[in-house]
Amino acid sequence: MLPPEKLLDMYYKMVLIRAFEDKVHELFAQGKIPGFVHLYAGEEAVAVGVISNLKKGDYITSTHRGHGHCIAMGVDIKGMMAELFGRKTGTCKGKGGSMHIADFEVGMLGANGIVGAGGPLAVGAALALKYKGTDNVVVCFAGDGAQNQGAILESLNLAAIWKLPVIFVVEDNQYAISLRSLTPSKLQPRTSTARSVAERAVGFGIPSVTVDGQDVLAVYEAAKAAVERARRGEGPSLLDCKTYRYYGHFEGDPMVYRSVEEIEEWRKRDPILLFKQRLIRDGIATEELLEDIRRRAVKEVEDAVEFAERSPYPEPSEAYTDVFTDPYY
Amino acid sequence: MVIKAGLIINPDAGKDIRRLVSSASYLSNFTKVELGKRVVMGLDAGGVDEVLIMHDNYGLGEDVFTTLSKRVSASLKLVETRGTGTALDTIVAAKKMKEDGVKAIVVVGGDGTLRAVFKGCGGDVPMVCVAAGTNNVTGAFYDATLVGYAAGLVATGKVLNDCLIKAKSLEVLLNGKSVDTAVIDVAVLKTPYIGARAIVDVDYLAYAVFSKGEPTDIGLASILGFLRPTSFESDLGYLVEFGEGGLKVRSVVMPGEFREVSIKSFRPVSIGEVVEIPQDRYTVALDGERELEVTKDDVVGVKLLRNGPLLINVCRVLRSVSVMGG
Repeated sequence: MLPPEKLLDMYYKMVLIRAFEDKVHELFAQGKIPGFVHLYAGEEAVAVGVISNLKKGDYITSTHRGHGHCIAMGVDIKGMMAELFGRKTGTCKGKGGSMHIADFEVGMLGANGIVGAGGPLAVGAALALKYKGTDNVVVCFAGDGAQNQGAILESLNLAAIWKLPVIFVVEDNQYAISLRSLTPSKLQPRTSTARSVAERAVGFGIPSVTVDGQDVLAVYEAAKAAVERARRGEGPSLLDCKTYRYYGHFEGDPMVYRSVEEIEEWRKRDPILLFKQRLIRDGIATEELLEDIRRRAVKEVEDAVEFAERSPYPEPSEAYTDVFTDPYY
Repeated sequence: MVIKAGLIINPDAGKDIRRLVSSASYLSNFTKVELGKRVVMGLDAGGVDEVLIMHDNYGLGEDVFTTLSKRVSASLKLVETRGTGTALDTIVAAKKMKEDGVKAIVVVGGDGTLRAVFKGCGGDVPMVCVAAGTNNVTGAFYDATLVGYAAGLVATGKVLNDCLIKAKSLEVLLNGKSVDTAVIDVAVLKTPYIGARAIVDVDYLAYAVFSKGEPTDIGLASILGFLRPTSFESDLGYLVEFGEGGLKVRSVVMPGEFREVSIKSFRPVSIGEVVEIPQDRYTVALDGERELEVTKDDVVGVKLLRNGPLLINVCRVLRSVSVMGG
């Protein structure tokens, strides 16, 4: 059973992700954030439930919707916000933006603008870990749409035949951009004949499970089993987490492909709300304590915005630094 | 009179956490579609006029429907659900099928799916489960064609009632009020949350009430099976308190996983008897899946009843229609 301090830390991370994403939604609408932004609000239980099982030396690879993974992994949110603002103090010196945040110090190998491109990175990192003989693992986050990319399928194959310590976490938020991952009828378009991405892994001999991605403890338990078997050298596994994103595919998405009622239905099973009710019911925390935690998270995000807004833009002379490895460029 | 039968395929059966912590196999949805087709062909051969098929979120039932619509004599019809992707869909489908007058229902799933069907249509409609779950205490390990055929023969009234087994059930009471029902076992665990649902660690078991347990079963029922084998036909159930100081029972709690389970005490439970579980902050698992979270202030009761599912004995049905008599 998880100790209370661990449970409260998980709650804090979930509300910090939500506060960060809600604020970015607001700032983007005000035109303060350049480039594309894809928000993670609604999917917090997946990132936090999985990453709470990791230890120093473990790695993750992320997606275009990577803020939640970064925060759960411990990337500094001031640097993240500054990165979104394109400032010099950003995690990647303001040159990457929302879709390319990476922080190797905490094991975050990078968000990724290319759908499914985290798979090969995860497999490569896992091969290195296996070569070194550590018991560390790599988590590869990817969406349901990414499961139809060749890079992910090749990654599943390599991870299986080399028995690498990779946990493939599918964040099935019901939509591959605007196309439903699952529909009750063939008359409507579907993104995959496999119907469930968990089915795909089985074809590669990788054990897979379907998990309620709105319940952070369900995700935690399943991820714990997957991480433990990877640490024991038993190879890769796949978690198919059923979840939902509240905002559009990208900020500015008019979302004509889904109804307000559908979003409201999912909000009834909001991962933070479910966890909050459980913590209060189990006597782990009071309503007041959880509200304090939420306020602390909101304040940290506000501080991060202030930090970002006060930070300078990179100098034009820095345009060619940290970009290429070849000094001639 | 149009003879109707139902088919419910659970897309989520056999996909839980036990794939990571045991040697439980994964039954793909493609395989479930093939099992469903075999069931329909069996029902057709058994003389059923109309097969009602649950329209699930993954479109498995729809695949069976579109593939076989022109290949079998029976007419096929899809039964809509709420499309929640949860057990509620199965419950709703089973209820609608009963209201539509089905004479038998075939389930492709595990014990959890059969429980949901039972909750939806009660204990009057004969049912049978093609084993597609993890533990399959109620599942029939026969080819789905034969399971469908047996169900078809039952639906058309071509066999006698002695081919049916009236199972028991376990009503779960919370503070004296009925809140849920199980078919095989109700376990009380010292874990405060439902989490990934399936029971993977027997060390957390505090109490269990069984309606059935045979040594041939896998799962919690295996504990009773190797302690005091009890059939569905028996008028007894058992209350088991787990803990040191009593017997050790070697059981198969998940596929491939033997465990020495410590039994502090156990006693028989009669039909109609309500067993009260001592209070604590517990999780209650029904037929192997954690379903309810209770507090120290709640009183959990379990009542053994005879009104469980009406299960089709496939072997007995098929023997009874053999040319020279079974």
